[in-house]
Amino acid sequence: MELGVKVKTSLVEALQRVGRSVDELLDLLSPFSDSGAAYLVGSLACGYGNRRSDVDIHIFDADVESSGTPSVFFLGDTIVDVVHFHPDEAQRLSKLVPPRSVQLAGGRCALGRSLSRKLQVRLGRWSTAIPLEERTPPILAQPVSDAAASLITRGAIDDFVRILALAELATSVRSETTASAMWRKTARYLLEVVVRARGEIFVGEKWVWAKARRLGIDRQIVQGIDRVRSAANLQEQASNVDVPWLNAAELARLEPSSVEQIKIGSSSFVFVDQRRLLPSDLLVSGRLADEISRVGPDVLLTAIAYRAATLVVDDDAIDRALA
Amino acid sequence: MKPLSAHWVATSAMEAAWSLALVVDSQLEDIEGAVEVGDLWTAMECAFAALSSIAAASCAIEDDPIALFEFDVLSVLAAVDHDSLRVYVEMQPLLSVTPADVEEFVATVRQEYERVRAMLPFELPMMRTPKGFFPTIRVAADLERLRSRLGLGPFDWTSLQA
Repeated sequence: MELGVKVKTSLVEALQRVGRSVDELLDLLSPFSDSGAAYLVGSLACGYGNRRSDVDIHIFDADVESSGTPSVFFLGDTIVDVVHFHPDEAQRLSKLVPPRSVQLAGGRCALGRSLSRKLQVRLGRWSTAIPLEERTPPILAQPVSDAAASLITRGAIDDFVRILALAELATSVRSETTASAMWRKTARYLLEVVVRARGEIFVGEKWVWAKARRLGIDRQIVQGIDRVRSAANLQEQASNVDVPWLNAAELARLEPSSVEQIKIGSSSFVFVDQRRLLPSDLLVSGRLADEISRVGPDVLLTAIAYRAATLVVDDDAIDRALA
Repeated sequence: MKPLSAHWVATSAMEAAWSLALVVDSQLEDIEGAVEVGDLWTAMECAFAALSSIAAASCAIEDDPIALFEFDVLSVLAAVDHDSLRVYVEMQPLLSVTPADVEEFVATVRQEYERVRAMLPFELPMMRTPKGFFPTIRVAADLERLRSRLGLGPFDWTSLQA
């Protein structure tokens, strides 16, 4: 399997997928022609997308005051989402120091603190962007683009650990159906790790099966992942795709939300989101393994679902587990 | 006819409505787009994503937290052993899925979508069409006025962003 598969899609091919032409798009964007470098990003730029996809355009404009604010236009029924960024945003991302990484899932996975989802999405988009004009340079410096896969793969590992934690909690205290569904879903997150590690760095989870197909991942592996309904199934599939088995309880933590403890008479509650009163034993925080022992999985599932606490990953613990 | 709780309309119903408008409508588009090009695996993936988002919206109508992102959706559904998870377990294996399987599943999704939309006390226009903005903005403004009358702060739109 060739690493870092990059499919070159032309602007013409990308727009044909939504039944539009380059001239139509440039005509629509003509008010911005003096703003700065413009790029097609997203699923269409990566060779995915279909007739109903949005056309996502990013423009780097030194005069923009607020980066990231979208404007929506229409080419017929096709939505054209235009977002302006200050060029400093691209320069900031370009200064990311390529991290240490380890081999994983047929590619590399970064060690160290993960990028936020917002930055992962941006990195994936800007690494695969197609300029609207041929002589426009790439958005990101080459070393950052090269490191993008390992950084974005690390993001997939973090997501995998979180959903793995949820599946393990559900298995302890929920119905067999709920548990099976959670394991099936967790396996999809495992596949996301694999496709990112192998170079599909555009972050868009709904395309995971299409990415697996395009990468030519063995049909038996895809079938095996789709058939996962238990922890044992998942562990077997993880081994098949060179992802180490991760103990989510040791790798995740609970961060309490900003909640307030209140009393009504002799009853104590946790006041969440200025809306909900939850039993006071839903005040949870710290290492997931410790809280499982202290309050049990049922309380933790409820605390997470009702936002008394957020489940986050422990970057250092994951580094140790992967290294 | 039993009166509605104005507080419920301005909080839980509003949140459920926005989750349908902001997330589910585009998920339904994703399904149609994948079906049109014969990408059945992506169609099924998107169909379950839509079904679970619709299920989470129905939970929001019942005062559960709004859930727009998949982890939050799954945590809400798992917490209550939601029946939509049974559908996912029983969903056809992807490698053997046929256009008829996709059509049947999509019909289930659309049925659920209409059922949950009917639970809302107001009509929510489609958001992202050339004609769709101003009616939606009007509904949003009406709801904000109601929230203000109830002493509630403005709806936190930033909570809907990734």
